[in-house]
Amino acid sequence: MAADIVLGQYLPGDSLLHRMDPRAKILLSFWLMVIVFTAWSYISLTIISVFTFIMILASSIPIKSYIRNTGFIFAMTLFSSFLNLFYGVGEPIFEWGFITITASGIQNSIVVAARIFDMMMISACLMFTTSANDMTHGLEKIMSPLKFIGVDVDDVIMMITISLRFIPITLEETNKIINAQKSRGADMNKGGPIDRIKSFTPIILPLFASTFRRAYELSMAMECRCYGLKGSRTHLKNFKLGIADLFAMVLVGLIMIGVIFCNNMDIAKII
Amino acid sequence: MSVIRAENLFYCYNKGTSFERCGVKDINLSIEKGQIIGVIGHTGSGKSTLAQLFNGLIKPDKGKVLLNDKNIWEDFADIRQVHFKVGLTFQYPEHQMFGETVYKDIAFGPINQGLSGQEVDIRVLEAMMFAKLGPELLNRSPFDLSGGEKRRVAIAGIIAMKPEVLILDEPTAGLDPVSKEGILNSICEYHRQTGNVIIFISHVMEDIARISDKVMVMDKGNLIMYDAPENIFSRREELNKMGLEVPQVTKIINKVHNKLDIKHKCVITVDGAVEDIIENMC
Ligand SMILES: Nc1ncnc2c1ncn2[C@@H]1O[C@H](COP(=O)(O)OP(=O)(O)OP(=O)(O)O)[C@@H](O)[C@H]1O
Ligand SMILES: [Mg+2]
Repeated sequence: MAADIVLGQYLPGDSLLHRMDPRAKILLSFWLMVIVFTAWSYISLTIISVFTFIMILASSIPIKSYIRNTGFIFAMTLFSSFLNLFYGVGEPIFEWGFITITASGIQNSIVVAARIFDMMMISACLMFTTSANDMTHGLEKIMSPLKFIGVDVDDVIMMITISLRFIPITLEETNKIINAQKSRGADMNKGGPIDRIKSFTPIILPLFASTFRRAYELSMAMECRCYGLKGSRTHLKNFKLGIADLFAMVLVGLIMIGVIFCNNMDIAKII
Repeated sequence: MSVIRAENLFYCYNKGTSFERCGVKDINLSIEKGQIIGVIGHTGSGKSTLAQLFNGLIKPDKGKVLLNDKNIWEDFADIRQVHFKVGLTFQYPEHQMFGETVYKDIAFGPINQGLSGQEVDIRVLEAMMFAKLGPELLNRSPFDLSGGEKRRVAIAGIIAMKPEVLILDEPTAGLDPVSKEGILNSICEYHRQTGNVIIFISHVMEDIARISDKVMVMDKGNLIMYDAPENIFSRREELNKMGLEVPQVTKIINKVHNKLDIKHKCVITVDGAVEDIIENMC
């Protein structure tokens, strides 16, 4: 059940992507997503999709993991792009009753599907290859200029770290409570949908109770270690941009130029 | 006739991912009526996994669990009955609690069994007696109790279902000596009165030696030994290799035997040691 849900999971490895500077990885992933959203023509989409695929290969993480983690959202995407098919404007190519399909409808649905697919893969790639530590540390570095306009970056980062940390803990806790109730004969799959929702109240309540207790204990522990006293903190690891990062930046730059350039090209016109 | 039997039992966590870990591998064993079974093993050796397989919380990847000679997974709809028949207290039973009051928490199982209000009351009071919980706790919130009291409420919640097999996963871990003794006594008392099978998981060799009829030794998901405690604890070297120890008294008596050059006999309890000393050394 809940244990099967894998959320933003880091899969340790030693690929090129694993070794990249997290700062570069986060920024470039973000930038790639922006590019994905500007891509409109088939050629542009192909360029960015091929690049995404190369990224997946470069992460040396089995494609199976990608599919498992994105399967559900992907199915939803296919569904929504299927709907898009019927909402095109212009000359109909196909007509049957009230259903009309136009060239722009087809393009719309393909574009939507490809964009969301690419975005999911890019973010999955970032999640899989960056540990939570690196991720937050990287974010901290990226956000550090905000200090000058009065944002307390340290606190924001601590909040992100703790919330990320609490996701698996809460899932685990949910599982424990479900198991404890099941082993004492609670029947979670009985009756209609209303009954099922009702059978979740005895799970949610203790879950909240224990989560609050945990949060309280954590804040005590943090206070005991003098959290809140401001001082400049250092990190065990310091990032350094390497050749791989430069290479990736150049590559993403090229992709961007390619996508913008090809956005106005039509396959039909070239062929 | 065996009460519980395991045949070629396999179970792995996170199947099909790079995090796959096997909890138990190829377990074969049979537990007879009326026995107390102690289970020992290094951390991560699969003791809790085995307990959950017996209780029907997780389904084996391969192999069978037979309860009274019937495969518990033969009929999916029956698995709830298995939960009632094989009661399991989890490793940190503090997590098992979800009732608003101690009464409601202990009554959860019996109510799910479909007992009438009066029967539920009787079950709850009986279970609280076994667990040595005073009636003044009935209306307290289980979350406000001390660690030892919580532990006893959780055990009472299982005993109240009158399971044919009672599995206790490290019921005494982290308790003070008096509470620990109290829980061990409750377990023995329950066994004396009902004659039901008890499976007792613990890291404290002295407790295992004292109450079990037979001991299971797990290592890396495998069942390495399954024998009477005297036979198990006479294999000290093998146990040491698995990160386990023999009871303190066994070590002492072994040393004394070696010094005095007396023929070796495995002693595992304090009472046994006293007898041995009187017999050989006085
Ligand atoms: N929920 C889980 N998800 C993934 N792996 C698990 C899970 N629970 C246990 N394992 C793995 O299964 C193996 C056996 O675990 P188990 O909890 O049965 O050990 P144990 O003998 O009870 O240990 P302990 O003495 O620490 O309680 C371990 O290697 C553990 O890492
Ligand atoms: Mg355990």
